[in-house]
Amino acid sequence: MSRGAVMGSLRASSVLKHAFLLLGAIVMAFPFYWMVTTSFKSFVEAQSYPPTFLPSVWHFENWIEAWNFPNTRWARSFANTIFVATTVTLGTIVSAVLAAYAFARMSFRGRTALFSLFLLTIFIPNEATLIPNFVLMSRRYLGWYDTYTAQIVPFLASVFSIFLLRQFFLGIPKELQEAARLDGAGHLRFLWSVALPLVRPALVTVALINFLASWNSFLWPLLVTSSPDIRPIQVALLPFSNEAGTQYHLLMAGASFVILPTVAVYLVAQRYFIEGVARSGIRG
Amino acid sequence: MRQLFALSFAAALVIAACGPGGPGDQGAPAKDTEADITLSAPVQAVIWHNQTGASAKNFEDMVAAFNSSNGKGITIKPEVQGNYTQIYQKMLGAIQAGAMPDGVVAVENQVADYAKAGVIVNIDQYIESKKNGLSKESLADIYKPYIDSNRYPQYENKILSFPFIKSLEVNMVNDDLLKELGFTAHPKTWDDFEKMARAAKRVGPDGKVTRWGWAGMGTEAFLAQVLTRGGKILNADGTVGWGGKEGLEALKLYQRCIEEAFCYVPTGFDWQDRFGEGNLLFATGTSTGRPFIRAAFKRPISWSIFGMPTAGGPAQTIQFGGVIAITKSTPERQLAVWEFLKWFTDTAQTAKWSIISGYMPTRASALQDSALKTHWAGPDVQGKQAFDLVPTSAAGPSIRGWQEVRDAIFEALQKVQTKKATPEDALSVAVTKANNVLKENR
Amino acid sequence: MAAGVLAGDDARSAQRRRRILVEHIEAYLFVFPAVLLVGVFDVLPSLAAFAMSLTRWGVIYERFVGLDNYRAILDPAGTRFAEFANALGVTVWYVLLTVPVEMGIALAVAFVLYQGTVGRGMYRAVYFMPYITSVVAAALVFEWIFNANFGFLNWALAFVGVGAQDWLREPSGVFQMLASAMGIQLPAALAGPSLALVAVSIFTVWHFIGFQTVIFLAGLTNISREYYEAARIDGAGGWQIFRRITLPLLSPSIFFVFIIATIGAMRAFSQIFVLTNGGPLDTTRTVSMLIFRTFFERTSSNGIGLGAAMSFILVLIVVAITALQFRIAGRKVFYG
Repeated sequence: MSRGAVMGSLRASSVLKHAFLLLGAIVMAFPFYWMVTTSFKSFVEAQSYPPTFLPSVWHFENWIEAWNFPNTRWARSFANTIFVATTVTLGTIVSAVLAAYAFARMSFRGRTALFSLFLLTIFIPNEATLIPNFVLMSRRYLGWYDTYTAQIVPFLASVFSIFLLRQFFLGIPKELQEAARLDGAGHLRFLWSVALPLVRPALVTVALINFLASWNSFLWPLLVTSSPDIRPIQVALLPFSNEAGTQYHLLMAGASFVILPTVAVYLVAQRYFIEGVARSGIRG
Repeated sequence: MRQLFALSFAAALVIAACGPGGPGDQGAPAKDTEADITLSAPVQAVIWHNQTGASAKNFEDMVAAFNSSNGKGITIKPEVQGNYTQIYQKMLGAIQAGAMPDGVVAVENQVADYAKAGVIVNIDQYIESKKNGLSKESLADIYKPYIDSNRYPQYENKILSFPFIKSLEVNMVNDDLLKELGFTAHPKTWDDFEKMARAAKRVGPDGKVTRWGWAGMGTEAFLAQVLTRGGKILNADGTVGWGGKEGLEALKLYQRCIEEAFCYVPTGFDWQDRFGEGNLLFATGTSTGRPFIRAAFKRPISWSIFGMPTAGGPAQTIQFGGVIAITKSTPERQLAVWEFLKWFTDTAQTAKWSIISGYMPTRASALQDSALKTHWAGPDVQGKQAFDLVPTSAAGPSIRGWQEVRDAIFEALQKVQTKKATPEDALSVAVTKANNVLKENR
Repeated sequence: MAAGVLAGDDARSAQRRRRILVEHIEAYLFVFPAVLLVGVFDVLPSLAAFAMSLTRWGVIYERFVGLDNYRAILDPAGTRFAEFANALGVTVWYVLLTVPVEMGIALAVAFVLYQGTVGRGMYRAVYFMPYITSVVAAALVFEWIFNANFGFLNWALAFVGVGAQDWLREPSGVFQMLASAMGIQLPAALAGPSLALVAVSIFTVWHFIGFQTVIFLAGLTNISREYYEAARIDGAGGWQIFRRITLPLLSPSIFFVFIIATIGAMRAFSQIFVLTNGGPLDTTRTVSMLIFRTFFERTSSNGIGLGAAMSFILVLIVVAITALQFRIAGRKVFYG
């Protein structure tokens, strides 16, 4: 084979590769494009066929109308969601790091039994525990109905996060721990100054997964809250349809409000996100 | 062993804790005094409702007007909790948890469930109360079908809820198109209806249908057809009454409509757009869709609302919509919700609400309201056309399990629409399912 | 002397005992927050749900019925067997339609990206983006794209000659649809999953592919170049290298993704809830969807008792399948 032919086939395969990746990327990104452009169309144009790629008239006021839609308080809902998701994320990290470390690096009676019990809870469908959990929130027990507490505290422990972090703690060489002990460092010191920096990618993953789960949770906040003042953004999408018709263009504007902030944060910090997730999979 | 003990203990604990009381808890009639009290201190009551968008705003404005004018120290706090299903789901949790609102918007079969749980009050006592009730004339002024749908046959025909928002299953017609097709009047029989709908079909050069005769064969439309063909919704023995030839004829009409492609199969509310483009002759659906239809007009179209055609039965249609039930709380809060319901359904308010929301007024005297008269004479002629159908309307039965019966009907319609079954097979499966459900809930 | 040794032993063992005690106390303090939270909000409600599964519980608790609910669901003559069996079938199809497809595409994309391409970071970012969006909101957008009468998908497919489909409401099996397009009539048993289930699966694949791609990509990056060079010197071809080196060394990542994706698919809820809500004709009613409907829409017909029983049957099935995956596939995983 001549050098030119090799280069040619290389170039051809590279073109093919790009075509494949580009097509995939378009498919992945298209729904975002469709959501945003539809949100600027008129009520009639949003439902016309053939569909239009760009609004024939840009109705920027749709966003204002959706933002001021009766019974939605977007600004307040955003603040609520940010507050709840941040608190849940921080709390989960603390509880998960401590438990995962103990399960991985400390020996105590009942460790295996406890860990197995934890793992078992992953398999219980959420729908099954919805009603008992709701009862728990009532005045008779915790009295958390219609509070931030009800949206936060039940999610401060995540078995999946504990599982993930434990895998990472298991991977830290025993010698490091021995050396630390000879230096007189206890578990807490070792955890803080040696173990945590080593598992930073896993921490990022755990933070990301819990933050997204909290940001995106819908059914639970719908059930345990009733005042609009403490409701999160997912629930704010509710008022956009009723029994006689749906205002799709406004619904798409609302969906944009919900989706675009996460996309923006993601685009800024995507390197950390992806790297964190990537490393979590290596160990399995 | 120890774990087993702990488990059964926890189980016993939960069962003991969750049940707020046995069934039939509400059997004993409340003392007369409960409805006859006088409010001596300010009282606040929460109502969970389903009004969204502009309607929510309007409803809240009305509530604010009540709060500032009732003179009894009552403050009603309205809270939007999603649609009927979502409110029901929240109520299920709230019943187990004992965290209910004071008033709740529901459809009748959901109210029957709440009654089974023993968490709602008997409204008869409030209606009849000497001090706080309704006068005979006032009660008679409310349309009978609207009161009747709130009587619960599984609970001694007691009134356990009160009308809140009322809609009707109606037919909408593009009169311009009807005239263009050479017809001079709205169809009186289902045969005429079918003939006109078939004539409206138009096929484009590529073989695709571009204009349709009819859209909107849903559960309510099916039941309305059964009535107007001389059938019944429920038999006296508690089994479903739509399983005979009337139901079959309705399904067969739908089948022809699908096979000959003069039916438009909507994916949501998009039939409103086809109607607004002038490409749909008839649509069957809720009378409350009027503003959405007008919003979809691309050019002015003259259209009207008319009642169901008939074939051997009376001219009747189905009415449906939300009612409000009052939960057991304190006599003061219960009375507060009742006072609000009384006010909200009174002539001036029901007329005003009808204008701003598009729902049907609950009283005959609302017709005398000058603002409503003007509204119906001008911008909303179709509202009056729908309203004229109220006296001959009937509600679906107010019994437990009715939602599952509706699901069974919907499934039969879907089978016919997607050609998965013949009308005969689809109907017989639905009847068996529905009767099983009704038996389980008797 | 001997006494001295013994005394020293005593002292040492006492010291050891104390150290063990301290370690225990410390460990219990470490796990305490998690144990308390998981105990109260996961374990306790699960026990309660199990207790509910032994009762007749409509809108409120009615009576204890032992295993009657399980019998109604599992006994072929039982009243709820047919719908549960249907839901299981739908769930199996859903897993088959999503997990292998996701993994196959993700592996291919990861492999191409790994070979070094201009704009690799950008591609990776775009493919990962759906994963971070809200399932509820994104599914609302897809509902729009799938719409039969004015959706984008039908419009786009018209250019390649595919007729308009009612994506989210077509209960016909896809095999049957393909066959009848070629003029063959298939027996009902071979009809395959409904078009609606395929549509829901398309959304699921879109949403989760990025997550898997990123994990595979990291796994590939982690494989030492030396293996490839050695293989190339031995004269191995591209496909051989992929089969004999890449796949085995990537197997931990593949296994991880396989387990996570399977559990996720068996418990999927939100996307189906928004897109089809179990319809048309129950062809997308997975076990999760059936449980939800039994609990919250069929409540008055003993919904809470039956729903809880269904949940625990699902738990047993998922645990069994996961254990099976660990036994069969787990053995083939190569941990360098």
